[in-house]
Amino acid sequence: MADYREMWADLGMDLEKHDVLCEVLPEAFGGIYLTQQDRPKGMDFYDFVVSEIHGVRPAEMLQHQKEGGKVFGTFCVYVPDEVVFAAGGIAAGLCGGSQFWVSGGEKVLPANTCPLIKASVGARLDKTCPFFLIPDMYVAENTCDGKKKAWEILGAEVPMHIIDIPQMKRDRDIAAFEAEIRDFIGVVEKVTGNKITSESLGEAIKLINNKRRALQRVYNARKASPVPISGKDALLVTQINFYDDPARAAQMANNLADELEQRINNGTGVFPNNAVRIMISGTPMAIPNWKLHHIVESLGAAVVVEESCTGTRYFENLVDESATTLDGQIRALAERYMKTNCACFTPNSARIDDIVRLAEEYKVDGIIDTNLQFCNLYSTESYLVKKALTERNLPVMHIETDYSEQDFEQLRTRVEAFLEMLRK
Amino acid sequence: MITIGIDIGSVAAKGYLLNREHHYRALIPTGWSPREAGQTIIEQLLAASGLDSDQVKRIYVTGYGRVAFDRADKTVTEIKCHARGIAELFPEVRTIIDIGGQDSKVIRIEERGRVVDFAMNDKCAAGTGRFLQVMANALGLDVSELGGAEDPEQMQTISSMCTVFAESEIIGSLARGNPKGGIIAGLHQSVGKRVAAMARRMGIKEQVAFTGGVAINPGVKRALEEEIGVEIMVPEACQYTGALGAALLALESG
Amino acid sequence: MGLLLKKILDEHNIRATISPTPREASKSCGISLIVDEVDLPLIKQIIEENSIQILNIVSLARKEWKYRST
Repeated sequence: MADYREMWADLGMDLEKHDVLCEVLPEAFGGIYLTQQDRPKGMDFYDFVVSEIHGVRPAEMLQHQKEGGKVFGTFCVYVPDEVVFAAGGIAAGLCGGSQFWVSGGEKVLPANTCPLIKASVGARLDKTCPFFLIPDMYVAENTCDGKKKAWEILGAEVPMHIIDIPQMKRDRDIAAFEAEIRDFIGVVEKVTGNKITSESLGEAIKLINNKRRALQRVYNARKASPVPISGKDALLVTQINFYDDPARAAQMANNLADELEQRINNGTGVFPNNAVRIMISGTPMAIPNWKLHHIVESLGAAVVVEESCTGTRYFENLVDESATTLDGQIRALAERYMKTNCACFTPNSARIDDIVRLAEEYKVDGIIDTNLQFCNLYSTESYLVKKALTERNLPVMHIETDYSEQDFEQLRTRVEAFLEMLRK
Repeated sequence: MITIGIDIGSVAAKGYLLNREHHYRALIPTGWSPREAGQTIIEQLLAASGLDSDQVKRIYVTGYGRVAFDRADKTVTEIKCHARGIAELFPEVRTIIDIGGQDSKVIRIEERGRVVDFAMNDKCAAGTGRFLQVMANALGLDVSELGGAEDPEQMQTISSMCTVFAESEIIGSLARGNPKGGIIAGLHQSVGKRVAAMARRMGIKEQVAFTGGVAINPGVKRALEEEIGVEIMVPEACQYTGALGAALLALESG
Repeated sequence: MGLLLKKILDEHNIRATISPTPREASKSCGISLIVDEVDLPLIKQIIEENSIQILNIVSLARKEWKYRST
């Protein structure tokens, strides 16, 4: 990425600090991903994206801006990307997934804040990630307390629009969210200078739905035994989908799904037939957080599905494409997004239903319910998750962790003990 | 078939050799090289049993040092090993409390040591052997002397959660003339409270066993019983249950 | 360019792994293809025949990746 140094300098990045991250990435990616055997050829694209991770897509975004387009950074799967693309903008998920950025966040945030929030704030304040410096506006939300207050601090640095996510799912909450989407449309129109019509919104809905369909295909392939793709690889696909161009993302995911379906026909798997099948459920894993998947899969078990924002919650449920008026489309968006079962909602028993359903669809042997350290919402919810799963004889273990290397061996022991329980 | 189980802990390495009805045990400080400690354990077991290394059919290793030890046929977690070991010694046990050098665990088992749930504290020294080690040093005692030196009648409750601050607290308490026996009872209570809380969250099913290096300490046993409210069984071989479990698993692996 | 070369190598059944450039090869990031020393002569030929621009060919001392966290 020698060519990109100029681009990074122009963005005002701290090149010295950034170099430190650049240094660990090849080893990290190599040790975690490239040691795998028999990866689908379709993963070549995603390997390429990682190799040029701070180059290719940022360059595309800058080009878009040069041509008068606007870029929006987002932090939650509740933000309707469709609105941004309908106005000719680019939306990209920005959540930080590396320990590298956490100390930057800790300069302004309390230490007992979720690492995802700390990393997201740190990436911007330390100027060590191009994705954080390019957007014309951040679209944030008040899903959890940590984020709600962190945005107040970050909002001093970059123009921000906050979407008020309801805390319940009654009819009046869906109506309230509809109103938020309308507001959001107004803001995006103002920033981009483009009017959103039912045509453009209709097109955008199809665009994002296509990406969802493609990811669903990739995931469906993981229901097979032997599983044709590793959980690490599937996670990487999902993570990259958060910020790549939606049309290309869908195409690449469909290519991969074609190959996986072929593998299923041939009986080609990347884990032996009798490998333990694990579901990971809980808080999202922003790129490059591959820690838990790596621990589980190095112990010989396959992660076959993720019930998280970097998993099924990202693409399950399509937006109803039959709406033809703007009102109808906004309603359809609100209804689809409000189906996402995040712990920031109460009650959230629907997430437990999802976990049980997915456990059956993906023929899961055990569930690891995980949350990032200090996430009160998911860690409290884990009590009910455990209760419900234990009643149904579904083995579950709970892991709370952060991005650091410190607890690697401890986690390994716990996961190993859990797998020993399952292997009997 | 002759098998060996090795439990390489943070403080001590333990070994168990099973030769039909003949059992042999070995225990040494782990020191800085888990690999060498494991090796020495094997040598000691062979010397004690009078056997040659090629007569040993299988070696299983467990404990924090298992990753570094390369001469075993298989590594198994301490959770599974303690479960198997205790099930052998006390078949009626359904909850195991294990307090080791640098972690504490609660393991729920069913018959034959089948693990159904477990919880670990391995992030904080409080509630582990390390806590007692630090405190013993501060009191000028060997950690093995703590159990016999406590005086629960003169209990001096420790308020600090953190090992480092607790150390300052007891030094201050001693300086103010508070009875040493009471302070030690307070230390045991501190450990008991923390581990009991973990056990309660897991759900306690009788019978309950207490194992690991710290189980030698009758004061901690007393404190646990007080917190949990049930009688607790402590095996004579409490330091060896992990190694025993490993040796049994090696034997049963077909 | 890296993807193009990978595609051609795939067609010739030569093993290549796409990777972020390892530190030993270059301080700057970017795409690298990790290949087997034994295939080098043929690969060099392919690069020439297809006028593919590459920065460098570097020999890596080790045979395998070690895990590092991010």
